[in-house]
Amino acid sequence: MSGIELVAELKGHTEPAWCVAWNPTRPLLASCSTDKSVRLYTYHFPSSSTDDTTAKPIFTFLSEIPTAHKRTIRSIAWSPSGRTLVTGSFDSTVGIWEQLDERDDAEGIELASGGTAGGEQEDGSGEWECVTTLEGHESECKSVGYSSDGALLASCSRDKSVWVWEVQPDSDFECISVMMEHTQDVKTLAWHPKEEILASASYDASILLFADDPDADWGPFQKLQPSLPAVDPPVAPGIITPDNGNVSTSEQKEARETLPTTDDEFPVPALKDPETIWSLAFSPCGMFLASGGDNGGIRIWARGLSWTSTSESTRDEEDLGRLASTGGDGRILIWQIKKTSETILSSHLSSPVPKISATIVGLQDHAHDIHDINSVAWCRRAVPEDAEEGSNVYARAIKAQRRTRRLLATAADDGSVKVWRATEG
Amino acid sequence: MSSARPLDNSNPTIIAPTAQPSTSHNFSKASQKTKLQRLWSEEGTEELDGFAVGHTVAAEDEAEDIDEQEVFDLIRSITDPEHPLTLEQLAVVSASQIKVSNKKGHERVLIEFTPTIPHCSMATLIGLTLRVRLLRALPPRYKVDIRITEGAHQSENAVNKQLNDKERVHAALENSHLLGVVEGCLATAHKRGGTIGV
Repeated sequence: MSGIELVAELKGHTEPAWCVAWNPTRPLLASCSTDKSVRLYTYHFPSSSTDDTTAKPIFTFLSEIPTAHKRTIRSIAWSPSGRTLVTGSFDSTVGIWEQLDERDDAEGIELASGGTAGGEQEDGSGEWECVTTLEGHESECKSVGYSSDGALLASCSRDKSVWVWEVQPDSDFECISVMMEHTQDVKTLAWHPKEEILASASYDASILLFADDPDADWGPFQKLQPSLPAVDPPVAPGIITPDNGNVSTSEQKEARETLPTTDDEFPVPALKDPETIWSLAFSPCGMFLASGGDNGGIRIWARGLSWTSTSESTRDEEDLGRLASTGGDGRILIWQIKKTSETILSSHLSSPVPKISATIVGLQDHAHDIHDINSVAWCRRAVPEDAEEGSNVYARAIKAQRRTRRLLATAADDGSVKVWRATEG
Repeated sequence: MSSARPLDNSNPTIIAPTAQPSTSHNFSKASQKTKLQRLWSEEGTEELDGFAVGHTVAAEDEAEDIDEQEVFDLIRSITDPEHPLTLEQLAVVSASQIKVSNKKGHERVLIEFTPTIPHCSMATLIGLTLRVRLLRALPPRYKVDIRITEGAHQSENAVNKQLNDKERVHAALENSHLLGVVEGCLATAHKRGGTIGV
């Protein structure tokens, strides 16, 4: 099986590349590295290409932001507007980057994205400047991310804290909450795609879900513990494991997909302490959360039906989209995730949850040769909220969305970034 | 390295090192150029020592296998952070606690090490030093797993988890103080079985 084809190989970082991020509104891909730089690439579709689903974009190196970070840049993220880039570094700071000419001239954006010749314009080539640096973490910042409407920014660190910042005019950021509920290194963050709900995952083997309590302050409203039993040898990467976690509202789904294992000549003893949760991703609908951990398993958590009042639709089968996963084994997997018409209700669940199925539809081994892969991200182009249906801007955004929706990017220890396309099937 | 604090183990058992490096069989079949570099490496300079050469061989000659003894030669003469003795002399590492798989596409090295006492506070540092040494010296296709010998340390599981956390290892290497301590331990690593101190 393949189901994945290589679109572009982008070399340039001189040290491991840790994270890739697609700009949501413009044809830009960013990557960051231990070499303390951010590299920006643009892409365009050849004007001769007519077939929306198989057209291959052409990638071009655009610019490098040297940054002033003193250590590894671990994480990067774009604001929903696509105008601001944020960097999280092992030097404990968070950098906010913008193109100053654009800030002064909002019309410039309109002109650029509404340009005519050959479709989209490469409007990320101007100089990116650090408009502010957020300080506060006591040790390495591990992850950064904007909320779905761009009103909030979150960061987390080895200092066990999760910070929520309010984004104010003129590149001003006010810290509105510092949450210390994790007992260890906080590895990653994920904002809910529609609501102001923040998920964090930690070395302490737990996932916390945070929200703003109108009567109090930001705080955790639920703790998810995958509680994966240590197995010897470890679960082969890419297996979605069933698990009977002891949690209430959100619940892990049972789905098992077995892959051929690598059949090592000797077993590597499993790590006995509860596994670090390294990665989080919400489904586009916001009803499911995927988590990936040390032992190679992926867990999918469902929002309990009590979470939502619109429960009638949950009885229908539904395609939830594709989940991409990767890791130190150098393998990229693409899973087709579906919600079945069945629901699960057991004693440790407070409400029924839909049963899901996961099928592997893409597999690429040694995707970066011998190197560990540190990041995978789908291209998700958004249609600007203020774009009127029927307008040029709207049509262009829809077209960009359709053409790019099967693209994903990966970043690896050799500093390379690769772009892939999930093929039909 | 510093004697400011009391030693965790003030009277460690010291063992005599085994025979000198015995890895020449692998290099005898290597190219003339490699032999030349090998000669240079025996001069003992840090830059050219041991697997810095092995690395070059790998680049030129695709995939030359390595064995347990070669990995042992890379780590046996690392200085213990607490005593002026090598990890081999203190029996922290031994050839029998190393496993190597040369299976193409799944090359792995597994090292177990045994702290001299179960409450050794230096266990994490020793593990980090082993990891740095192998990161620099082994061909990059080898994935390295490091474990404390089962039952040899009271915080075995926690130390194992930390040593295999890639992010923390990378961050540690950007911490100049910590890196300095590691470099101190690695200063004797090129001796490949020679003794130090005492």
